[in-house]
Amino acid sequence: MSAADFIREVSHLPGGEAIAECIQCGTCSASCPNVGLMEYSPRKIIAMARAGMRERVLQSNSMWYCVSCQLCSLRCPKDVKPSEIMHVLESLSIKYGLDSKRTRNPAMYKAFVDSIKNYGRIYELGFMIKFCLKTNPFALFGLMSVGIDLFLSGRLALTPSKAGDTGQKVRALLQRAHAVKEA
Amino acid sequence: MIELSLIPEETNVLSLFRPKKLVTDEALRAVYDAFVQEFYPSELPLAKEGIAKLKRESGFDPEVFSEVVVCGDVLRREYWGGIAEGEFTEENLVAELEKARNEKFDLKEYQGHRIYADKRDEFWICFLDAGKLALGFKQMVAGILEVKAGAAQRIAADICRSFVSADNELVKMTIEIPERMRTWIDRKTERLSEFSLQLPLDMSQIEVSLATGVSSLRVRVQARYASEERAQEVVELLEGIRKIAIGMIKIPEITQLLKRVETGRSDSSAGWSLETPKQELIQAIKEAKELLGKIFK
Repeated sequence: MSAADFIREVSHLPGGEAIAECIQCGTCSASCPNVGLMEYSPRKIIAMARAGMRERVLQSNSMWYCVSCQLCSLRCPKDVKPSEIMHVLESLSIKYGLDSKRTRNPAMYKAFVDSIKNYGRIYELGFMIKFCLKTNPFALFGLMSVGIDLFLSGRLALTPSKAGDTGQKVRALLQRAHAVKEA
Repeated sequence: MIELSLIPEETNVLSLFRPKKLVTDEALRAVYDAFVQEFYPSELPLAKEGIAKLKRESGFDPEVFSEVVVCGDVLRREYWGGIAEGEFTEENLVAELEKARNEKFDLKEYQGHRIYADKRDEFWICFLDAGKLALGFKQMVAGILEVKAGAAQRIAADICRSFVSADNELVKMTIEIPERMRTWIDRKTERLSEFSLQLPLDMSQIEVSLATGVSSLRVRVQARYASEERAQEVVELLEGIRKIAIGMIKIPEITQLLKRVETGRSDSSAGWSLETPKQELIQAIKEAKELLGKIFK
């Protein structure tokens, strides 16, 4: 895939449209609270994407540390919406199986989406069990005190919520969305 | 039985699981399936599907492991791990795990042992001998290897004592409750003490075990308190609550279960055990749908 193909792919996805407008002022990097955890700052990741460094961009951990605080998007003088670009890069990274193994966020996103697909809403206990099984099963034991705390506060159900046929409806909705996208 | 002398000194939770027996035990499987069919037929998987899902998601096949000892520090989130024993080969198990996790492990060396580490260097696996491995958070696996090499102290004998006789249990867990945790429990249960009763949560150690017979299940809980008097108080308090419940609950299957609870005290330990035929428990689950539904809502 050439540099032009990659930038076209990013800019054709919702949220990535303005990537070519970036003037590399670095306001996004200066605003980002998580920049210290990222391999490449938001400014740099945009520059690398535009330079067609597809694999290095999609394999990096940068976009997985974006917490969508929107500070970058709010302060961007060209309305590039860097946080939206980060999410576009996340979805491309999963699509091409290049998601960084140095962060657990992709595994967490996948477990979250699976929970929504299965139950129509988030089933916290099942979601955490699945996430820990994929990353480190012993983390479940370490999270016990948080779980007990949440349970005693009425914030953690032991079993999935019975929300009628919400799960089926959400699955149908997602299938329809995929069909529209494919078409 | 796994050699507990490899567990590091800082451990205050020790649990023994027999995964192979757990997943193949017919009595347990029937009780779980009855619960799911009655309450969550479309939400939760039946035992067979659940085990297949567990294998697919984690790469661990429970039927391969005859015994797993899980240990950790209840106050430290990243100090958990264990030693597992079973019929597996290093190559096959690593391949299964890599496939399920969709990542290749990095190879390292620690205390003369080969370590398989994930890309974040958080989760470690180390094959100790044929059919035996240590796994878990890096800190715990490193601790186990240090104990093995004689560079660190092993766990106190006191916490291991009850495991010597753990021949039939499918699950057994012992928790040494540190002072900080007791304070935490006190704080969390303040709301529950509105009746001026001192809740029986001031134990220094608690043991829970689950065992099955041919067609029965046995659950045993034993708690150690600061003194004989306190243990006696707790036994009397819970015995009173049990008798009131037997008088109040109008579901015969539940009262029958409560009648089967045996209480006892030995020195400063209070113990409760429930042994019930599998069929009786399944019947109780079916009959008590409304009551259990409120508990598990």
